[in-house]
Amino acid sequence: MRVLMISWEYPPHMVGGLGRHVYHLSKQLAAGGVEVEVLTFTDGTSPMEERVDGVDVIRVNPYRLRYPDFVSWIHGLNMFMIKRAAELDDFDLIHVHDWLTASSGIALKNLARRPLVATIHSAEMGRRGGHLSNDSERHIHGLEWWLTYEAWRVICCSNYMLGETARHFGCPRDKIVVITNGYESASVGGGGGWGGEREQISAEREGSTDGGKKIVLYVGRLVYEKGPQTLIQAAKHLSRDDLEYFIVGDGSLKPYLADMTRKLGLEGRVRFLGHVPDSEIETLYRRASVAVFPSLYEPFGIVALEAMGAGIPVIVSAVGGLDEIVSDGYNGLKFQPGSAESLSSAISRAVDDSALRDHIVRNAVASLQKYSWRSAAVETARLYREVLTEYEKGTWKPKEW
Amino acid sequence: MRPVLNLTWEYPPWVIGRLSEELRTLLPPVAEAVPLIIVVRGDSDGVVIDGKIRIYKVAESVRDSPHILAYAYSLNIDLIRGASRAIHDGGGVSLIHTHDWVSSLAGVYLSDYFKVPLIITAYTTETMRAQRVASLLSMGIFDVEKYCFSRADVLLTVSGAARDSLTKDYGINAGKIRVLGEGDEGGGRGEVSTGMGGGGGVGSISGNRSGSGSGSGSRSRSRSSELLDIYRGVAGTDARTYD
Repeated sequence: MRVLMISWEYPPHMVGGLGRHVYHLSKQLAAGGVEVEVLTFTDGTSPMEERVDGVDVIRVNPYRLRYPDFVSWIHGLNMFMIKRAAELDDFDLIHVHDWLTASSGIALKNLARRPLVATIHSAEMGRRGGHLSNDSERHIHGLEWWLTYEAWRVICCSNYMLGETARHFGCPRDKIVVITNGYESASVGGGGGWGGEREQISAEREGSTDGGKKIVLYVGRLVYEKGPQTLIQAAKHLSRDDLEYFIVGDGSLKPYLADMTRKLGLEGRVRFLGHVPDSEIETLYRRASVAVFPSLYEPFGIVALEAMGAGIPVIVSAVGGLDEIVSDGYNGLKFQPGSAESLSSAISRAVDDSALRDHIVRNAVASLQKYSWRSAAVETARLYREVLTEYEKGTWKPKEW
Repeated sequence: MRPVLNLTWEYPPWVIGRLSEELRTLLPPVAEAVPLIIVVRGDSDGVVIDGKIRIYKVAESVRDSPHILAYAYSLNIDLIRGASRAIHDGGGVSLIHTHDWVSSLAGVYLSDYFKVPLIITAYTTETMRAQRVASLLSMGIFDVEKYCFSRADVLLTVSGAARDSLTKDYGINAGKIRVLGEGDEGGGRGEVSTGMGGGGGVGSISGNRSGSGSGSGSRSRSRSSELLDIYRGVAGTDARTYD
């Protein structure tokens, strides 16, 4: 079975959880005997072709053209993907991820008359808080609808996303399969770095032993739906000098968050570390007392699993996939999404009650057993076989000529 | 000869601008001599027989776009849907012919995938329409045009001005450019509107009809004959085609 996997992100070009998902899933599918070709993006700094962990990776560079905005850039990327795919050997099935590679998936499905499987990691309607306020957002929503319509089957990573996909796109529920993301602690590349601040912080932490401050860690993109603003509000609400807050990640909300930190008098207590390579995030997990994931919208929350695997207690908002992963007081703590008061209360519980922390960490590590990339790959390969069996019985096939 | 597949974003009764009228005059006489398929943006998906032309209409799947470039990118995926259906159902085509940049992306994909020659007619260019390629949107359209035009096996125009723009502004080799109706009285048909209305602006592709107006029947037949010769030449000499 040959699968053409199309993703806009794949190591070393990582933006969010989607790239980790495609990396681990492809690797495990290949380990299980599925021939996987990943068609993905390069900015010219990575090889155009390489073999990684048994997976053939083929990259296209969209910067040969100019684009007025991100939507056009994505379309251009897909255009080059379609062109490149025409040069590849035949494949049995196409698997794409989110609207970002919807158009190449739909085009290749129709050109090759091969079945299309789509994973919906998140939806524009959810990312925008339930309101589409301009034509770019409506365009993206339209592409998401189109992808679920054209796909033979749709994979969602949580029951929450199954509901969102059915509700927002009118996608029949029996066309959707829930396959959860997996957990693997190994880093998957990255790059970048956080320069001198890391060494400085590291030195500070090593210097502070018993009397040192406890670290509350946030890892995620700095965008509204991830809720970092709620954590900063909670820091003000707690007003504890023994805590400091490390914000890892970058995004459009950063200037707003920095301004908010200054106005609330939290400078020095809230530290923005920017993008941190995966290999170094694990070090941060080991040093922090608690990890907070305050999302307002979260289809799955792969980063929470990584924190749980690193042996750090997690506090998550009771939303989406996070709400399905964490049982309050068992393998983590939960709080009301968007509530700084509710979050500050959970932070206090976690940092002050060492018995509770130990209990949560122990259960969290145990609960990770059900989140395995190997299992996700086995379920995905099973779905591929079902789709191909249905496809073989049908009449919609390429015509020999 | 296998069918010639034309891709366009308008053909009567699915009218946007003047390109519909132009194609309605040009293509039916060609269809008398070679099998002809038109894939067009329509109100719904379906197949319509119009004289000797088989029309595959495709509905737009994405209804909202922030600008014409995003619109064109997604429209071209719909055109691929229709064209792929026509090609798989009909057993292949001998060549692809697209009309202006708004349908040429699909032409490039289809030509690459099915390994058949590509003809593009450039009625106007972004540099002609916008006077100056100054905005990012205009640059985006210019780049798409250049990308597609450079990949065409044959590039047709309908005016000397368009030919000059293609060679000077886009660096296209003059050897692959043909001006349809170049010998006609008045020096060609002038520019044809393929826009969404409005004049001049970015991507609207609304040109002034200079030259000889709507043209006489004999001149139309002449241009259709010329196009037919080009079709036969391209399909007959290219090693990738059949029959």
